[in-house]
Amino acid sequence: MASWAPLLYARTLHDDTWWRAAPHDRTQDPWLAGQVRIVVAGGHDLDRHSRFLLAHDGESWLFGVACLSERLSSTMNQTGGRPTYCFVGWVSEPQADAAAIPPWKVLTTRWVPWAAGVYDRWLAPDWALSASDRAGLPHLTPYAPLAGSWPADAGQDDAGTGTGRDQLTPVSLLRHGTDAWPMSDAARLWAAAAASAERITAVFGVVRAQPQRLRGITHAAVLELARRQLVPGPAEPAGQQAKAGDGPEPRSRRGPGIAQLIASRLRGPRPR
Amino acid sequence: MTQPTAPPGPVKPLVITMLGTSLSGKTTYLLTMYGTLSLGVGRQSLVADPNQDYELGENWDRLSREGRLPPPTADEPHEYLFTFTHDLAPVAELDWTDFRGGAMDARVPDDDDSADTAQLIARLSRSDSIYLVLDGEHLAASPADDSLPATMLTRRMTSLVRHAIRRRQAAGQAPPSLVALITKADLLLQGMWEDAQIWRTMDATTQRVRTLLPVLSEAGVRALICPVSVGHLGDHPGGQVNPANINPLWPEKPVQFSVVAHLDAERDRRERERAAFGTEAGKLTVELARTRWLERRRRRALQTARQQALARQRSAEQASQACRRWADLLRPSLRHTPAYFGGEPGMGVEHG
Repeated sequence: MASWAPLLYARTLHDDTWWRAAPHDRTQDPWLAGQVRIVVAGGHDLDRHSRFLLAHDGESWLFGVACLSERLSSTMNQTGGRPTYCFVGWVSEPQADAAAIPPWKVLTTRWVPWAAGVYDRWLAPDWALSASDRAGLPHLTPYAPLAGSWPADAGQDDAGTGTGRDQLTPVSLLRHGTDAWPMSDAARLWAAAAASAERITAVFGVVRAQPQRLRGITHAAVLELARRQLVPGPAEPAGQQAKAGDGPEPRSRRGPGIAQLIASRLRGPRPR
Repeated sequence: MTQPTAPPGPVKPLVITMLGTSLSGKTTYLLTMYGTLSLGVGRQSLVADPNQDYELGENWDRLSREGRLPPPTADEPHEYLFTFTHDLAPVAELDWTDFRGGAMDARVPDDDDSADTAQLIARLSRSDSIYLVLDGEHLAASPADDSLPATMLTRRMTSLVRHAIRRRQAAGQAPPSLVALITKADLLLQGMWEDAQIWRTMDATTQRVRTLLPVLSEAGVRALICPVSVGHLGDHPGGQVNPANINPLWPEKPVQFSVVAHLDAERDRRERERAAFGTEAGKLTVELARTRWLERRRRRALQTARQQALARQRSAEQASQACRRWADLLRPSLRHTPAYFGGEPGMGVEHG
């Protein structure tokens, strides 16, 4: 039986580093790092919807969730007054059986306690440490059968909504674009992705089918999408030709008014 | 005033890199700067590729309309290309990368989490302008300077900038221009209502910053000390602020300064080029005069080389003049901001 190891990508209160836990043989794995960065996407839109990932590099599998940390912890969720975000996931050893991957319905109904356990286990010891106290990161996580970490019924599919019989658009035909499905078909896409032998990056819970937000994603379940479609990849920035319209009239910032201008912007409302 | 034409020949993009601790306000500044300049300030504006405009514009809209501060930057740097324009004419290309704060404070190359640190340090040597981001909240909270270098990593910043200057000098390049960017400047002036008190605080802050970052005053360095603010945001639990309080102060000034400093540096470079080609043409003229009429092949080669040198001299001169005219056109935008050249008030900017 193939084994799986947990991953945690999250920052702490004081230390602006992100990789907290990974299996010993994959701490420098560019594929793994790339997949996590794709689904995390700088934390964009995670306050609107958490994003799930199912990825395959042809040998091993990776699945997990990118979310605001407040979904997983009532205490370890902010830094400098701003909400933090994270990715919690599991990566398999090569040649893992995809049947061990939890089906969509199980994942989406039970992910919070599962991910919270990993988050707390690997983040709590470091949460309040300063950057200078940091040592030995990332923590090395052990491989173990997934069954021990997941609900007992995790291997069973969810009643016909995701049978794996749906066809993914082959990656070779995507040309760096994305096979985008409506979120209502997420269970079918999840099952189809889990049955794929290709190198895929499937992300679930993207808010809009906008090329910039789908960069690096081969298959996506998109919230604001009514019908399945192929979304072209983002164009690379071309020559930066100036085409701006006229700006507003110059603002006068001369003479004695300058202090008042600074004051009006910096001091806030005048007390009554 | 007649608008200058673009300098002939390729103009090197202006590479801008920000250094600052985590949560010092780098990303929020970038969004505010782009949100303001993409709309336009006076006759100047910033133009981005449509996809990048979408991304930055969406984040700016979330901040300015919904009051949602951007999330902390992860360990993947974000790269942007902008065009700075004046009356629609492109003046300079800006190559801008936003790094997480932690990238500055890690070792290279053995930290597992420091891949972006290596990128940052390599990029500093290529940077034409470096923004040293100082959190105004720390400046406001620490009247004594003892703890500030450690809190704001100003020693580390100084060291990295000096390293970059040395590498640039070794490659025959001018030092980068430096901007000490004081973010959250509203916190510095809380509760002050008198003009004189405001100016005293601003002047005192400028002096503190010059002490904290002595590299700002080093020979040949063009520097600006610029307070910026998104508005009087107050506390922001959960990253949420009142959008009615978004009222940016001077987000455009650092960019205007970087462009002017870049044009000044480019003008100096083109002037040196012009002089070098002039010297070369002069030597070829002398050599041509010494060459006998019978050595026709050699004379033809010398004449061709001389013509080429003169053409390059003219091209460098035109470029130098264009840079000078653009810089002179933009310089008034920097009035009232403390700019220095080699530690002395300079850049043709009126202080105070």
